[in-house]
Amino acid sequence: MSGQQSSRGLLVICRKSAWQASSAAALELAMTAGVFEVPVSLLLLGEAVLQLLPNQQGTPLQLKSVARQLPVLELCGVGEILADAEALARYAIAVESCEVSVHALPPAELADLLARQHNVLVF
Amino acid sequence: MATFAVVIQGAPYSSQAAHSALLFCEAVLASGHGLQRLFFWQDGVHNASALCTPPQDERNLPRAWQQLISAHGIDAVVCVASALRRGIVDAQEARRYELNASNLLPGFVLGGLGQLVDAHQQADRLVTFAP
Repeated sequence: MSGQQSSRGLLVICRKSAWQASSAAALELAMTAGVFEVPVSLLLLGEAVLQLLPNQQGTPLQLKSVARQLPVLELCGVGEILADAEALARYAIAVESCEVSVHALPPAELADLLARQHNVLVF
Repeated sequence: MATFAVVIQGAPYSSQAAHSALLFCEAVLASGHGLQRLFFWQDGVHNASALCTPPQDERNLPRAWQQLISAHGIDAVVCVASALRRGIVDAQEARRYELNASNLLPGFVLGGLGQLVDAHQQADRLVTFAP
């Protein structure tokens, strides 16, 4: 590989819910990569799909809600928000109820997506 | 020869991440490869603290990083947002926030996530060490 080639794509994988520091870090990295015009997508696995629940309130816990940043991803140039379809079903989250556009991936598509990536950062 | 960018997300002495990262970097250089950038992020910023004082029979990881950086002229970036949250500041930030001390080891520089994205683009391989 050469450092002089055009932007290499990046898949940011988040496995934590909205209230963990690593979730904020994942979103910050995805947004930064998007701003720098790196082709980037965010994949929510497992309990990370809970970030998609609408109307999450961090104030009672004196925490900032990571979920509020999700709508900003598109503005920052993040290509897609992808989610683990099995986890969505487990937590009874309908894609239509999410405040952001989400593409649910069943296991076979998830495996195919991961197999096609050269650069993955997991949080 | 390949160039590596290394992301360190673990604090020294809290997990094996920081020590493993240091050993990996030493092996990279010993093998004739290059280190494009070190990026210390989240709890990894504690590797840049001048105040770590481990017992004499334990390796001083921040000083070991500093020696490696100095000896090989490595670009060592400490995420500024992570650092400020955790009390790792250079003299400039100490003045900005009216703090009475700074503790960033010489050789490390504060920077933003853009430098991590740049490292991902420039290096042949990006390797992360997290707890």
